[in-house]
Amino acid sequence: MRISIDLNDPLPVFAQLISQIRAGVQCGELKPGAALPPIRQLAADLQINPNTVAKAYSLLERDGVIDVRGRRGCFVHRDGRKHSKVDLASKATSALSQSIAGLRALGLTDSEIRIAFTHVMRG
Amino acid sequence: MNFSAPTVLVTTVFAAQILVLSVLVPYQFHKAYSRLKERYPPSAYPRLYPVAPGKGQRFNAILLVVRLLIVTASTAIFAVDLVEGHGPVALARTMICVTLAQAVPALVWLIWQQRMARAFRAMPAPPVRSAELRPSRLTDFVPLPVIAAGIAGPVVSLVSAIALYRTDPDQLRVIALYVLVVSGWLVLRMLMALRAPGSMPRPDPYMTDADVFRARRQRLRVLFVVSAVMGVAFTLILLFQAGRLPVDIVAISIGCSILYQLVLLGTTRVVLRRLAVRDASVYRAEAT
Repeated sequence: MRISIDLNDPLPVFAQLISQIRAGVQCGELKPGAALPPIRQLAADLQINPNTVAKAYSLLERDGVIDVRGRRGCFVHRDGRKHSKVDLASKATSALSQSIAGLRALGLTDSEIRIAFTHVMRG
Repeated sequence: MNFSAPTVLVTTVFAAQILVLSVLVPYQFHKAYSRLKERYPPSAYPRLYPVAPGKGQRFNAILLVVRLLIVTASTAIFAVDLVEGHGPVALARTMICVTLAQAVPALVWLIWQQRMARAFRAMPAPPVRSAELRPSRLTDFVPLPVIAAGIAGPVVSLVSAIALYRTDPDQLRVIALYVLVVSGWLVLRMLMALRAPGSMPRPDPYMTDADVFRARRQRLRVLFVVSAVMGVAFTLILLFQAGRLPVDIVAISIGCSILYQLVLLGTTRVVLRRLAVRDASVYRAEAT
């Protein structure tokens, strides 16, 4: 499977990697147990920072799409296909949309919501 | 003049060395690069020539003068030795000195190639890039026997250095230390290549995937072949220094010269073949 990135795309590079690997697992192009290239190799091939690939891999591992087995490398998770259908980002978007709609109903302006959101995110 | 068989042999090898190292190989490179320039003119393919053409021509002119000086001086010295009736040992020593002198233009050329490689890598990469989502294995690039020979060479030389140093520490201190450092470094490089063979940086951002693969394959093969050859050479040098290898200087000089010529001819063939099949269409001015 070929993976491609576009630096002019507004979507961050790590997100482009995640969506393409996720799509590959979903459509069966990447079979369960299939080996993925090491972080340094993919970073060298795409001429990007290894930390970007590491970030994409760690998020895919968190979502159960891939399995990082230390020095042995990264592999597609045996339940990767099932897990790749769970889109945490869209869940977060829908949860936030509901909250924002509720806050707007209470009469808060978008600026006030944004300030509150920033406060919460900063902890 | 001395016309003994060893003298004739040394003279023949010397003539071949001058011909191969200073005439044949440079001419082949010159021809290949001229053909490349005809096929891909700098005006249409500016990315293929990251260093200004004037600088390249100046460098080639200097290199030609240096090469001519070395050939003239070497031939003159050897001819004088021959006319004065020096024995094969003296002629063999001269030949080894000439080999070292002939290596100077090659080293200068390598420095120039490093500069070119830096210029290629410094080019801004295109915004759209793609890669195959598949891990590379070392065996994709280097055949298994070459990997085994590459690792065995330095390991044997390391073991020889330690074993022979224990028998004669005063005589072998410097050479054993040198072998330990160089062979140790080669073993480390090969272990790194074993772990992540595909993580070598791309030679330039525009090169096609097939050419990137060929470039990586070439670098890895060179690493393993050089390691094997150096391992054998170090072991022989150590045995010779320790007095366990009864070989005279004439045989060693002839062997080294022939090996050097063969290695250079082989390397030239590989490099020029790669240059001939290289797909340079991606370096067009309007290509992205």
